[in-house]
Amino acid sequence: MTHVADRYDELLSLIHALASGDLAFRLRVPKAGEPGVHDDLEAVFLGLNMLAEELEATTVRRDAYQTALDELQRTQAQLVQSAKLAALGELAAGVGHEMNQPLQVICNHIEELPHLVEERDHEEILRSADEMQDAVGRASEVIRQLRTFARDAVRSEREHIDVGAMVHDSLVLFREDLRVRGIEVILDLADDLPPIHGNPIEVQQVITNLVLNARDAVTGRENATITLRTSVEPGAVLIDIQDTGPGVLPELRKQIFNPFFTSKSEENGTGLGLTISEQIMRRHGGTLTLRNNEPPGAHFTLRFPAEAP
Amino acid sequence: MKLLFVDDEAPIRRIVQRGLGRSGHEVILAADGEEAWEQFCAAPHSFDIVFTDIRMPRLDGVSFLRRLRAAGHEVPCVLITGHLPKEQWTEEPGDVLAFLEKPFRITRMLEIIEQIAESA
Ligand SMILES: Nc1ncnc2c1ncn2[C@@H]1O[C@H](COP(=O)(O)OP(=O)(O)OP(=O)(O)O)[C@@H](O)[C@H]1O
Ligand SMILES: [Mg+2]
Repeated sequence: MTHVADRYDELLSLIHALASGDLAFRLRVPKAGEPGVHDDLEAVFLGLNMLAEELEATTVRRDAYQTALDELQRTQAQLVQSAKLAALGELAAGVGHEMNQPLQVICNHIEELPHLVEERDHEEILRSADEMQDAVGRASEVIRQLRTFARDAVRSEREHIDVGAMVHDSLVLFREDLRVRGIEVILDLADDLPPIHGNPIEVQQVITNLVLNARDAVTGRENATITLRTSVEPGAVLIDIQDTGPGVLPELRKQIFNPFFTSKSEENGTGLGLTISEQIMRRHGGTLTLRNNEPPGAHFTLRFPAEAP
Repeated sequence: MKLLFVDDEAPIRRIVQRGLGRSGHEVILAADGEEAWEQFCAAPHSFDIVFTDIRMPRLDGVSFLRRLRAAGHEVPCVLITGHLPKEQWTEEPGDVLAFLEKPFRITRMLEIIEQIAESA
């Protein structure tokens, strides 16, 4: 004979079990025909068991979601990493190209020098010296820029940034690439720009992303031009990057900021450039916006809060 | 031998012309593919060899070479590569005698010219 009081204890054990995370605990429900149980109580027990069942299933589902979420976060981290690596590859290629030209000049002059000495062609010797000097200057500027880049890369804290100098420096590594593509760069840098406060490597990454996008947009077009302009507004420092490319279609104005949105081939774009740039701007309390189409081309504006004086 | 040398860097053009000139070669210069095409067409059958840089404004070296081949010119061509490794080309540039990697020496150019002279 089972008493209601006996089962009361069982009921408490279920509640304790569930509360302490043992979701597999179930109440014993007597088989049909077993004597001495109130039918209504039995229904309650069955109901509680079903509830426990549901709870357990939900937990399993939640764990599965969590695993998927973790996986997603890992993948995203990997993608950001590979985007960084791609940027590094681009950088290495750029440096290679920037260095090759001056090295070629120096290499040929050195090879010629003994002949010139033999021919006693002093004028040519002096000219060679001048040209080698120029080539060394070009190469050192690339290295100086690379050093800034490397220094900034290992340092993540924020500091005062001279926006004009940074725009100028960001272009050094691409000057040759842009020239070879027949792209004209117009720099319109304001004097007396107040400094901004931020992470130099990140700010440089944003400028580089936008310049590379502009480069891709104007490559192969007539009058290919990229204009970089800095200016100041009350409380803000602006960098405008404008190109003479095809611009962005009205229906794509939002989409281009989405992760992985790209119109480029797989090896030319991952579609993360604008996403990462927008995140960086947000972290700096600033914004990245695509101006309303003032044709021709695309016009992006970076807005940084100016450093309080 | 008569050569066409195409490179967009003026100092390099001048040194190469002088260096090869010393060995008795006639060197015609061009600053990009378009200019090279004009120079070549001015006397299409007079050139023994073409040396061209790849990365140049207006018309790049590979496109210049394609244009030459498309017009049926079989003049031997040497492509000068900057940082672009050959594997990165998506399209075969057509028949190329040799690749010269930057920075290259003028003596290396002379060796290639000599090979052409011997096989002619
Ligand atoms: N200046 C521009 N002119 C026209 N379209 C642009 C311009 N900048 C970006 N876009 C469009 O927005 C898309 C996304 O740009 P985003 O920089 O995010 O990625 P991506 O350049 O394709 O690849 P990557 O990850 O290498 O930057 C581009 O593929 C292009 O279609
Ligand atoms: Mg991009």
